[in-house]
Amino acid sequence: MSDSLPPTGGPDPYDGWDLEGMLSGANIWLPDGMRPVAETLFALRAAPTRVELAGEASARAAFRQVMRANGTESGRPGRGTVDGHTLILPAQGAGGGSHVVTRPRHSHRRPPRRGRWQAKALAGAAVGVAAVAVVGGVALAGGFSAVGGHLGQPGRSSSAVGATTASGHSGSNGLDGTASKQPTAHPSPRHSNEQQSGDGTDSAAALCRQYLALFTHHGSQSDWARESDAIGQLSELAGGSRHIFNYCVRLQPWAMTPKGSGPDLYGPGLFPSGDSQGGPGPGGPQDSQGNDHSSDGHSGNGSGLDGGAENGRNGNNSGFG
Amino acid sequence: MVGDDFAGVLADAQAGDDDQFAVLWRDANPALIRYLRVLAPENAEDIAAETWVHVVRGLPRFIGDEAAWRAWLFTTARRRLIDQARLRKRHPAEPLEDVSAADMPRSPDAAQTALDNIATESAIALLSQLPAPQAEVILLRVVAGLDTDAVAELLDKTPGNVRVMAHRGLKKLEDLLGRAGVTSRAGVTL
Repeated sequence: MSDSLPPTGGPDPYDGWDLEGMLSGANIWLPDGMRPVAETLFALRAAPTRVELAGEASARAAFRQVMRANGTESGRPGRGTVDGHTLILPAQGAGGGSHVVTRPRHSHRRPPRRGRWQAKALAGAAVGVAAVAVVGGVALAGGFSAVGGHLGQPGRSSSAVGATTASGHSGSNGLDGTASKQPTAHPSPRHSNEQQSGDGTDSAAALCRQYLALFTHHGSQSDWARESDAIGQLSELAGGSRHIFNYCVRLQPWAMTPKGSGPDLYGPGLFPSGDSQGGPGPGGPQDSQGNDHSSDGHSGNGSGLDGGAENGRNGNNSGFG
Repeated sequence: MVGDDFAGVLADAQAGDDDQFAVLWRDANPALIRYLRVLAPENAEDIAAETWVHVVRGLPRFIGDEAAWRAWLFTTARRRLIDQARLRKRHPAEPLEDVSAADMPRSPDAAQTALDNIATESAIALLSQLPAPQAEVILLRVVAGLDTDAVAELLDKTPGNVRVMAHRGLKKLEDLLGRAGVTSRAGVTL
């Protein structure tokens, strides 16, 4: 385009000159005042200076480093099988020449990563077991005061029993059962004293009856101090609070039988007769006679049975049984 | 500009060929440095290096032609620039002298160079005196070689807005040069 010609009209003519042409460096007509500006823009497009290219070596090094990492992590195709990430192992055995194993770098990093996760998982499991133990203890204590109402409810009794009676290794059901119930009957101090004054076995049996009765008496009033007293006595007899239930079942296995199959000493019975799902199951009294109360958790049928069984096993492993 | 060979150069660079990457780098880094020296004169080289690291990381996944490549490069640079600006805002540095970096000549004889022969250094110094949005639009158009639409997208503005800013920036440059007494060399036609 000639210098003397007026602008033919670019995309956006401003003040008689072609903005787009000027910015793109096209050969356009320009008014005199804009020519120094055009020269400035021309200078901006000038060939690179030495300073501007001084960092090439560093850029190449960074490129190689980053691309190496990229190639490793993305497993880019088109690269040789023997490259910078190839692990060449020494020859093994007589017939083995050089053994080339292509392995991405991250495969070396993964085991420790998985290890960390495994460690985290194990730690979590340990915390869970501890939490179950604590919750079980709370459930036992709470169940001692208030579990009876729940045990009488259809469809929940067996799981609650499985969970709660397994020396407090209860899962959520046992906890649920104890959280919202009214306190139940409990041995009075006078009663306990009478028991202790008599024969040891008899008094223990009486305590156990009271202990088991706590699971069956509905709506009766109770206070924690009295129950604690009875628990304390039974705890001494059983060799620890965690062994009370086993102790009592060994002492009076019939106490765990459904209503009608044994002495009906405890009012409504430990297992309500009208609850078809609430029966003791195969692991009820039979297991109690076999001194394996961890299987009590397997015996019931409710939704919380499995959890109770798991907890029961955990509890045994951790010294509950 | 790399030109017709760009696709091959890019493919080789994406495959890890640092020679081909150097072709891309030599083509784009001067423009990148000039762009950054106007907008962040204190740490242009640092931002450029950071930009290249980001670009190289994403290079294997890049798909596009040369225009898209340059748009991506300068978009990345602009993001790093913004990050740096935020960082400096949170951790302001005490200036050693009461002179802004933009006012400092880029070379000892920048003023004389601007009067005698407008060279790259003095051009950068001149653009540094423009309002940043106008200077940025001009740099992206002229130095980065992006078209109006690409600049508009990069700056999140409309093409018309970009054109207006470019026009105002060029008029401002005209004023600056006129006040400095710079006149065009006779017979120069762009």
